[in-house]
Amino acid sequence: MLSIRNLAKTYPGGVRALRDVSLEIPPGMFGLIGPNGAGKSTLMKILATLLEPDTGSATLDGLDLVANKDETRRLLGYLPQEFGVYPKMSAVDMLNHLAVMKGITKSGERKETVEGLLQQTNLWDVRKKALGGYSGGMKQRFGIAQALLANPRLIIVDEPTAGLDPAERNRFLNLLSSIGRNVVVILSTHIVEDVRELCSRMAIISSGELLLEGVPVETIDALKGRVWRKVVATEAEREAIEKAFPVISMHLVGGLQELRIYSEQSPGQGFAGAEADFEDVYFHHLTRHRPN
Amino acid sequence: MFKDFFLFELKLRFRSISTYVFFLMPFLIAFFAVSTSDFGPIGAGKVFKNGPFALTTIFLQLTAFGSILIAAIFGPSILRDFQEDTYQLLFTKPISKLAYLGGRWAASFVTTVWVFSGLVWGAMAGAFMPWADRTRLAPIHFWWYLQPFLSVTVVQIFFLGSLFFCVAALTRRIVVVYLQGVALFALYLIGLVSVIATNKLERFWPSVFDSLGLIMFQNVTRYWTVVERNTQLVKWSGEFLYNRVVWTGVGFLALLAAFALFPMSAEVLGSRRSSKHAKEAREEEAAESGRPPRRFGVELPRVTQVFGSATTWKQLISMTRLRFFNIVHEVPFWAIALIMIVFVLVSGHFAGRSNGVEVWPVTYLMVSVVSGQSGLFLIIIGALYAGELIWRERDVRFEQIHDSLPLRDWADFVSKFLALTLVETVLASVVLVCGLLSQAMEGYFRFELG
Repeated sequence: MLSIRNLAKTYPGGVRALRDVSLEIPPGMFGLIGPNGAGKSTLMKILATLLEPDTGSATLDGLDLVANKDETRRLLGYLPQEFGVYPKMSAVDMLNHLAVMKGITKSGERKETVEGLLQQTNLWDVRKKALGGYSGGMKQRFGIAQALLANPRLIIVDEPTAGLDPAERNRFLNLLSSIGRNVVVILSTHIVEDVRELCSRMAIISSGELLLEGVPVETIDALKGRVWRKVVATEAEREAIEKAFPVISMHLVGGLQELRIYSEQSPGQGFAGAEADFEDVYFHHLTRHRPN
Repeated sequence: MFKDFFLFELKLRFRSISTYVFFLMPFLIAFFAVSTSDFGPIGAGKVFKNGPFALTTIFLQLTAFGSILIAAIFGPSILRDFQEDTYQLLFTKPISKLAYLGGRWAASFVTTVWVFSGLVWGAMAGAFMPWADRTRLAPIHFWWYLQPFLSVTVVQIFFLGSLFFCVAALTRRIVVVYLQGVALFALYLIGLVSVIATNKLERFWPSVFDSLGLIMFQNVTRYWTVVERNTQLVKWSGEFLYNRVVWTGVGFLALLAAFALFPMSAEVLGSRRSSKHAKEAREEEAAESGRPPRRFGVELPRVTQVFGSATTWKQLISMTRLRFFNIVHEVPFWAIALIMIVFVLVSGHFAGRSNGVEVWPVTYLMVSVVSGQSGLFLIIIGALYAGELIWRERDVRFEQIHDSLPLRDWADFVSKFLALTLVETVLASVVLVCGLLSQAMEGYFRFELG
């Protein structure tokens, strides 16, 4: 269990990246979702011992992550949002090196785990190739492999599916979910499907604040029968609806603009009931908290 | 359109802090060379510190050693589009070759001339300093500053800049530009050493073809008296004129070659890239065709993590090996090492003749000559890679993963130090072998290694 209490972080420039965030994260996949600049990466960097929070604490099964950086790093698997590689090193050499760094000093075990990871991330055939020649997807898979070294008990992956094609994304999510059953996995993304498909719990954050925390399916259920849709044709019509109802989102459907709104009763006026999905949950909570 | 490219490039240059740092270097050196009594190429004596001879010498030597600045300004102007991958945006627009190449070149030229004008301003400012020795300062003559600046520095910028620009435009690889610079410098030094070693005073042809002008200037002014040195500028005639004409010509040829051979098509320019992409795609496909991974019950092998002093030691070794490996797998390292070997062998060859007297190439002499010559290279490598190692993780953007590893800070630091020591040791051993080799090449086989 990872307990995050009242974490806050303001960058030297005055940007308040995190404001008083508290979360209880049980073992399993935990999705962090929010728009760009919401504070997801800041939160993850604090948990990955790269940033010092201004206030608050984070403890994993009693271990204070902020105070005990070295111990934390021993049980951590971290995939940053953006990272580069040493261009001349091969994947197998680099993983071997990182395995030593993570304290896997028995060479037999090291070989076995490195080879296992190369196979799992589908890099086996290119393991001896210099990392500098890897494509974006291959590099991302290398990043995933290094994050899973040494059976980490806390896995932090920042936008891991960015740059992966659909097949690779599927394979990676499979790998992560089967590994992440008994350890804490925190995954940030701005792809809503990632969270719905994968995570047993999730949190929406925006402008450094926690907007919602819960089980994805339950949050969808809470919106059942409260989402309505209507095709609009003119700007005036849209403005009128926006004045009257909280608008969740606006989509193009077959070239026509469709508005989705939140209403506890039927709004009438040509609105039809819509099946609530996770995207509605996301946008509903984002717009509801947006200061007007 | 020429104007747009020119002004865009100029704006970029004058917004970058490096341009001002570059300006400060010639400024400060010229400033101290004039305002203090024993700094710089003109030492003690009766020659005016801001007289025509002194100013020409200062400009000549600082421009020669400032060639690296010329490369640093001209090279990136054309390489930037390929490093940042903006060439695909650029070459899908209807732009003319002359405007593109000409604008970039002209702006680089103006920037470089401005950077080196630091020599003029520095030398002038130096003459007004209260601590400067009045007896060694002449009143300010603007022509004494301007004439050498135009005929030495500006010509040099034109010629070297065009050459760097040409190589950058045609190869589009920073490594090659860098290599070319180092190779030219080494060739020049070799030429210099061999001309001096012949001990002939008839140096008309070496003077004409002296690209940096050091021999040429020495040859022209060899018999000048102090009075001449304090009143006369080098005339635009004889070796001096021929030399400047030859190298201006080389500059024009380089520009012509760049213009004639630069392909204005994204396809050709990016061909190396796209063939790389195609190869990647093939490899990707090959990787895909492998055994489908298991969907359920994926288990990674369990490992035991051990931490303690033994692990720290292993981490230190692994980290040092990684850093050492990264340095010796880079082209610039090999370029410098190779040039050092050539240079050491050449100077070893001439070491046998001290002051025109043939002496035995005994081991102590060879090793001292060779180690003296290579010292500079060892310092260059040390400085280059010390900086490189400190920023290594940040440069390759691996720092976030690196910083979240359970590795002690001191071990990380020590690994950098060890890797650098290892690199220097390897190079020093190569120098030693070169010394012995050049001794052997002189046909003297009494090696005294003890």
